Amino acid sequence: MCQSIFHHHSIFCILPPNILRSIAHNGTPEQRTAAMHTLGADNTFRTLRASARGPAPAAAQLRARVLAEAQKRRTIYNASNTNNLPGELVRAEGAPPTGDKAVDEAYDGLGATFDFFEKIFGRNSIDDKGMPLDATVHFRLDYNNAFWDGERMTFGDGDGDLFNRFTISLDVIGHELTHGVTQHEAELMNFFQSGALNESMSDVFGSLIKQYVLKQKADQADWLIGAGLLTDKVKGVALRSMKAPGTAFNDKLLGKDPQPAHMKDFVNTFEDNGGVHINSGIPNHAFFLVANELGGYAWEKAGRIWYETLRDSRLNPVSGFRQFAMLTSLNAGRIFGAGSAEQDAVRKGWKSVGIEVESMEWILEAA
Amino acid sequence: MRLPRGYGVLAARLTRWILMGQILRQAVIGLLCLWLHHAYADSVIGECAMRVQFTVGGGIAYLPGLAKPVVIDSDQLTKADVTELKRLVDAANFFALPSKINPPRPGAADYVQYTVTIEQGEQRHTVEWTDLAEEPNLQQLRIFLQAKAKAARAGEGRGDAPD
Repeated sequence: MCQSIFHHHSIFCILPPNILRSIAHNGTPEQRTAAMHTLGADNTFRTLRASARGPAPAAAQLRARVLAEAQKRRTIYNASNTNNLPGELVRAEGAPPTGDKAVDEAYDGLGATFDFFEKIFGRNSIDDKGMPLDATVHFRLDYNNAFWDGERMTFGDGDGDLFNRFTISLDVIGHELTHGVTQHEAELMNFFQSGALNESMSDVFGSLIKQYVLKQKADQADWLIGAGLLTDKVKGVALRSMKAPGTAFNDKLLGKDPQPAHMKDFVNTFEDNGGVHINSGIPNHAFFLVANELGGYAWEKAGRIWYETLRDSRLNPVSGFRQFAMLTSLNAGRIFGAGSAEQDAVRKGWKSVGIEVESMEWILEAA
Repeated sequence: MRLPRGYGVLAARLTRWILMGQILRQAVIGLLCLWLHHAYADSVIGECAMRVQFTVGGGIAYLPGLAKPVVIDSDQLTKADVTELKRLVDAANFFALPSKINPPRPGAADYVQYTVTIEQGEQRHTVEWTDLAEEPNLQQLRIFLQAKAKAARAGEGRGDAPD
């Protein structure tokens, strides 16, 4: 842990947690990031010790990840509007821009995502082991989607009628790559509540990546997913709104944004794999509320808490909202101190969306 | 009982007219059926009629308007389209396909899922597949159905089906 990318702050390795927390609150942005990285890694070690995976292999695995050199390895392919994956290699790491907007946006978006996870969380690529980042653009003709296939990202050009090209939104690129991060951490199943959590994690980090690139504080961000993706013909501003779930679009053809912002409006359905893109509005809004309450750059505190929770081994592939919420509160308490303003903000955020966590946290702590 | 003179003749004539009317009616119906059969011989009569329900789900967002199933009845298609639909269904060997084709690998997310149910005569079969595993023949069928779905939605307003 002390030999991570933050080795120039090696003093953090010998500081007790209370001093680190003080730096995390009062230091310069760089000092805060380094201190929270150390606190987060310390938390991860403790969590892993308590996990059923066993202490020695987990610690060795983590050490290996931290010691691995973080280096971007991006490769962009062109499917030339066919069904064939991966397509023709059109831009490799270090190559100059091609002039093809989709190719260059994908290349830059992959780079921004890599940099965000590496600089803020000390994560070495999607799998934390230096995984190459591959993406294919111009998939099929008029393809209105972008997806993560478990190994690579794929982007359509949109039909130009409803959707623009899917590389246009950096948060969409971040969203898809975060599916890879989740795949290598909590492995949340993409069905029902665990699937909605999976989608929410992708929205949270997708939005944070955009905020990081634009250097926006929580109150400056639009908290939209897919801004710019809908054409002028569509009545809507994006695919989803974390700030105001259910308000992103209301169009004759697309229908109305179905996302709830509160558990009382939770949608029980078998469509959309059990409402994974619908009910994700609830944890999305909880994150927005926490980030807004804490102020400043959302990735520094709220993002850190969410990231450490995603890595917490007590989060399992079928975890639901309540378990995730309780873990965010526990992680906030460990990183920033029990009863800290950060932990209070987390509890308050979840309570505002109808999830009470404080009275139930002891169950997970005991476990 | 004997009928009075004149009534017997009238009854005989009535019987003859009724019989001739029935024969004439049957002839007209027969001719009409022959014409219909000739006109639609390759398509929609009887057990050849085909009903397709096409649903596109999944993707990066849930868009309620585009997630609604679209029903395509062969009797609402042109003769050329019916011929093409039947060719595509046969080429895909649709009724022999498994109900789920190559489910995606763990961790995959936001891919589009296609669900097609076809009813033809006594046969009814549903097949689900995703972007990640599309056989060339299914791809051709999907493209055809998407074009029809787009046309159906165009009738309701602006737009396209999600890919």
